[in-house]
Amino acid sequence: MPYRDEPALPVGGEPADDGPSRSTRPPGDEGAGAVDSPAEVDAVFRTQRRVSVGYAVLFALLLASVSVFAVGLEWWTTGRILGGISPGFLMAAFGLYPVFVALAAAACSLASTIENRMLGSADELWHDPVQPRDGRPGAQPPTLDGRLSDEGHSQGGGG
Amino acid sequence: MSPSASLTVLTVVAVVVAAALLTRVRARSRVDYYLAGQRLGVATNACAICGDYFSAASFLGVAAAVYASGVDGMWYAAGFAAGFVPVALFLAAPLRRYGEFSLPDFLGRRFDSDGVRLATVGVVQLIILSYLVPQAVASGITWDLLVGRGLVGLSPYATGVLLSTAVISGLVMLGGMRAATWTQASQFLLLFALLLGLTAAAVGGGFDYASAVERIDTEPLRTAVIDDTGEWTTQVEANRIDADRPARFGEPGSRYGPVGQFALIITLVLGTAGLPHVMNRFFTSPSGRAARTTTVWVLALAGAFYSLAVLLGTAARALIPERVDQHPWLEELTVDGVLRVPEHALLVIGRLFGGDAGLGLVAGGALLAVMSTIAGLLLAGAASWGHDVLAHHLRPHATEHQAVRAGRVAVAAVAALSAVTALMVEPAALTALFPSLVATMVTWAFALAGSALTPVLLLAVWWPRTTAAGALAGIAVGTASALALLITGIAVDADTGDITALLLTPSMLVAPVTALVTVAVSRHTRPPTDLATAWVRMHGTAADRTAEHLAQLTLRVGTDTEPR
Repeated sequence: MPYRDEPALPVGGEPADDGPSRSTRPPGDEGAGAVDSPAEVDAVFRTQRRVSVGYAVLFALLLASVSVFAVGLEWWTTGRILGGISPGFLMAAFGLYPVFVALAAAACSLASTIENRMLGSADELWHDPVQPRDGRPGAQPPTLDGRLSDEGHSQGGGG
Repeated sequence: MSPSASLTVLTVVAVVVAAALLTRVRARSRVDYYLAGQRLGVATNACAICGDYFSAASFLGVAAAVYASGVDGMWYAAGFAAGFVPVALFLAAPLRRYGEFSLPDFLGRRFDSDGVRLATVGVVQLIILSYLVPQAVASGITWDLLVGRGLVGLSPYATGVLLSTAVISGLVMLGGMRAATWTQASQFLLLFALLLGLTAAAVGGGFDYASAVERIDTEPLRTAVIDDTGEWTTQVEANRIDADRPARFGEPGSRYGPVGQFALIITLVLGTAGLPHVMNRFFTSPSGRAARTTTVWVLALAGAFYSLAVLLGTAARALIPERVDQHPWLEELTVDGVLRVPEHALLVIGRLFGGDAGLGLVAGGALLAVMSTIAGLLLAGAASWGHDVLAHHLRPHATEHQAVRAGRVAVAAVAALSAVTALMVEPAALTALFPSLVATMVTWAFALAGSALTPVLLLAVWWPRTTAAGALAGIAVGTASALALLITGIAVDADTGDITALLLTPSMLVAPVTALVTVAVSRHTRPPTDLATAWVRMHGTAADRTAEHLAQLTLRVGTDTEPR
């Protein structure tokens, strides 16, 4: 008999209890001073998962296209664009690496933006009021609902 | 090897060993010993990850694979680098934020299951051994080629294996992760500088990349082999994509068919995320964001490193046939202008452009690449034995001092086991089977990691419904399937095209099976409860914000107290 029910993550606004400290765990990660609510984290997790899967699909298409071009596109392997170098050779020898870096950098930047905008509302007062985290002196803390819409991302619970 | 080359090798190795000893900090706790106090900066950690990751397979093996197989050899480099993209997308930040000591520790805690922890320890040990053995083999081969003499009655090969393993395990036992970090970071910078220097020397010596590729491509790709009479000869490589044409250096098909090429890349991409010595390094970052940024740095450094290695492999293929007449020592290493052992490609380039000192520098670099990777692997082995087995199961109430001591004993035990295994390997027999022995052997570790661990890790982090039973089933099926396919692939004839390639790089087949089994068993077992704490810890940023705030406060206090 399969268990179909998904695990229910508490969605209340209270910070999760981290339980008793465990002596074998590296210390210093308890987040004392800053808190995230399970509801906020659940929303961030689903958004991050959707974004990461999107970038992973791009990455897979890139790898697959290089393999497919090598087999199905004669110009890719026999054409010459730089002296004696073919497009396929150029891509394998140099071209893939900058694309990997650009893709990872873009994904990481977006992931950090999502986290910055969706998490941390509970510890706004804990931050220096003179220098709010968004860098605008005197700016009001953004509301959870308005955060991702600024960037054109939805905060849906898909994934 | 000439006295000047020997002196150069010894100097390079001695400088790095001395640097490691000088930067050694006495480890007082497991966090100090295994995680370097979790205070490593992005640049330092990125360089250390590169030193850890760029083993002999990267330094000698990529150039060798490109030399032997042209474009098909470049897929090793592309796959090794591409493996960090999924790490950046899916794992670096959540793993660090969850904040454990090792991969078994992470999975054991995530599922609150000793069974998952111990199963992961078993897989991690298999991966570590299959990664350690080719490193030890490479050091034995390098010693054999360059020194040619054994110590205290041992063969040259055995001397290389035992000496490199003993030196680096001694350093790791003394200094733990912090000493290993500085050693690995400095070793990576040295290796990178070596590749840059060799490239500059080759280009300054008249090597032109584009025209060299054009020139090489005018003739079919040839490989040195031993014929039925035991004599060295060359043979034209068959084209596995277009059977009507001979294989050429600048075109795919010399080694892999379309399926084999993709299978190799998928295995390397998935394998990286499951390599314990690499992934353990992300636990040393000060925060999840730092771990993510570190991965992007690693990708950039890897791209630069592998681009140079590919260039030098190409340079070796182009230049060696032209220089055989001018350098009699090349005749011993080649047959009809083709190197007998592709792993010699970088060493030969070093000697061509730097004389004996150049040869010594490249040989020293090869030994350093071996040593830095062995260091990371030994630490990962120590963490899984010392922390996951001893501190969790055998002696749960052990003091910090006892746990660190157990880690040191584990380092010695894992090192001894790998050295003994490497001594039982017959490098000459395996060199005949695989064009680039070291790179090929390393892919077996990637295959195990990518088949058994990576799918479970991804599901553990991104699918809350994953259960301990599902993870355990996935790990068991993934490990057994990968081992069965690898053993079959090694046992069958090495030249049966895509089928053998699929067997030797099986993650494309096995990883989906592992994921399906994990999902299916998870769906048929009771859903996990009390996930909120784990999820807030893994996907929240409270700890990151606290760390950043404390760092800002520290900086501000430092600025305020500076004399004006």
